[in-house]
Amino acid sequence: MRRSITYILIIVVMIASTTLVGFANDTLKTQKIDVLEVISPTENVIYSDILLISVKVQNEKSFRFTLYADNAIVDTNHIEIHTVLSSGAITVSESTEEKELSDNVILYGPVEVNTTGEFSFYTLQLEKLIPGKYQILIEETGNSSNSANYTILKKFEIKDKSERPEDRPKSEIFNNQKNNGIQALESLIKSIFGN
Amino acid sequence: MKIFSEKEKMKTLSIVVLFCITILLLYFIWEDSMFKKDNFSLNAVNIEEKNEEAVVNTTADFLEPFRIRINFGGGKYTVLYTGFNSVWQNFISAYREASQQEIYVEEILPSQWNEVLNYESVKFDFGSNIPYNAMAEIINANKNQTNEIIEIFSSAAYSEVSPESFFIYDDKNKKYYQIICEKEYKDVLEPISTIEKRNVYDIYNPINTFFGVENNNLMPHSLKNSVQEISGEQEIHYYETGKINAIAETFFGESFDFVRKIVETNGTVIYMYGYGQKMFIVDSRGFLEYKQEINDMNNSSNDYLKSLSSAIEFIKNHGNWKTLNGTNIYPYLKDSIVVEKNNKTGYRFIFQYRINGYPVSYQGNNSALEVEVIGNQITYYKRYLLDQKDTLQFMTNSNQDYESNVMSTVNILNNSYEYIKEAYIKEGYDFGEKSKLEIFNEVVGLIYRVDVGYLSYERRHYEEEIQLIPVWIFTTDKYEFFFDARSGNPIDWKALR
Repeated sequence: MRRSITYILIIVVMIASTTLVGFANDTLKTQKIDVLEVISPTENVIYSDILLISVKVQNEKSFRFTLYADNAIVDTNHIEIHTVLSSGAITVSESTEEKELSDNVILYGPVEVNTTGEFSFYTLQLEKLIPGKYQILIEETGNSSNSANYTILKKFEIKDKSERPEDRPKSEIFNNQKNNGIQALESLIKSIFGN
Repeated sequence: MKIFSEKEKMKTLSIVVLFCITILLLYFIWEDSMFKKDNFSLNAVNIEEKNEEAVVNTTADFLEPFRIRINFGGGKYTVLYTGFNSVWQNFISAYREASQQEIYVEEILPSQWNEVLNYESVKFDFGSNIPYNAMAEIINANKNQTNEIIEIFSSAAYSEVSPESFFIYDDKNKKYYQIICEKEYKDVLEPISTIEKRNVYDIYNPINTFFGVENNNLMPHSLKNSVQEISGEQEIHYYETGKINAIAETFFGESFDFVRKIVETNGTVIYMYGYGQKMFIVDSRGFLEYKQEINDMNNSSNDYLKSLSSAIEFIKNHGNWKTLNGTNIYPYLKDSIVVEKNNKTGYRFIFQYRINGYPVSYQGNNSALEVEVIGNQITYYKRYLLDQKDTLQFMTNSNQDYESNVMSTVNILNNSYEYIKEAYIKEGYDFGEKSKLEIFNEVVGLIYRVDVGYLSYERRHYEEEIQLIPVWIFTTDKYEFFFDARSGNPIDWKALR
């Protein structure tokens, strides 16, 4: 009896501790992600020649932003990159600390972005993108030293819009509406004749 | 003989080569001139502004859309204020043809409307409160059953998702309709590939891609053009007696000799007939205002097209569709408001105009032209037009890697969302106990349209100078908020009519 209680206690303690650690870990992750978060792009494959990059920054932060294009992409000179002017909560300046990524060339940056206030958004509009692979590197930089202490590497691929698979068959978009029509008819009949 | 033949052959060959070179050179020159035309266009979106001869300002002209939202497919959007006539013409000819055949009208859900617009599509926006009937008559569409189901024609759309359908939104009743036809009308979308290739438009993105909040309405990241303020001047001054008399005479006709003229100390000139049955006022700020009492013999009328036609004709005969100094304006119908006076109903039409293709807004409740039609009478007319002092305002950047002087919409919202919040709080909106980020998300969620335009800002510098400031206009469900496009500073906000 005593032995079985001990076993049960051990199991309960193990489950509780695992749950607590897991919860703590989740909280930690959430906090980390919340500080610097890539709002766009969310997908890994983009079927368009334009792209909005948006990075949400919480609290006062400094980070280095670099956009890379795969070496295989030729004629990157035609790609248009529309940046934001420094304003209010956000200051953008050139950075000399380039980080090389193998098989990639730098398309834009590195730039040093400093934000003030509780939150801000760093955005770039890309146009005339050429199909191929791209990467965004965001390195958090400390205020005193320039060592990166949090890094996001977001990879994405640009494909022609004609290659886009259908999210949902087009014919299904209006299916609900027919159901709604039937529902409306049903409710009308019910209202006339009662349930 | 043989030598001569060889020579002849050489000559023929030379002529052929020279001819080919000429063709080639002509091609290069022609292509070069086309290229230059695009680069040095003064207009922001390479707009096809109607030339003077084409500015007729008929009823049909005013029932054209004043804005188009284009989805090129693949999440690529733009919004244009001009330069989309070919798409509109394709739409109406397709709609006209479809309406002659068997069609089926079905009300759809707002989510379905949004999904339709997520595909390659076009959406046209019109001035408020245009009856479906009137629009059908103007575009010569068979009214059939559609007439009885759809009351107001606020927006119209066509999408590749259902090529045999047209979509109409009635903003008054907040209802969306799908009009299912017998055949497909894919031609409607054909001109958008030409617009896409020209690449002189600004890219718009769904608001959720900027901020990660639930909002699929569109917003541009920035503008491709640099913008400058325009100096304007009121079209008439209280001391221009000859000019004032000339226009006053158009309101009173033969009875002008019996009109009393009063000049107030602040310069306002008032012309009054009888005991105020008819009044014409020119105030010191350059506003022209005409009021007429409703005649007992007047019968109210709900005929929208007849009323609109009367309003257009009245403006033409009382100052015309130009400034009094002869400067062309490019007007559009912004609102049609149903009015009731002395138990008689009619319409008040509000017209605005564009400069460089962009709409001009006024502070407060002012508008460029306002006409009230009740029955066969014009009961109210207000006019406030500006003459431009400068001509070069929006500069197209030829540099691909440009840096425009326009403040990004993202920065504006980031810096000034509290301005929007405060306006809502003043009007009784409760944001509750929330963090700054949560309030920001709520404010961003309220935005349903972002436009660029000019705001007429009175007397910022000199007594007689009016500034037309390039602005970002954030429209929510209730208000319009104006921010200086260059500094990002909030300027004004006002309730939607």
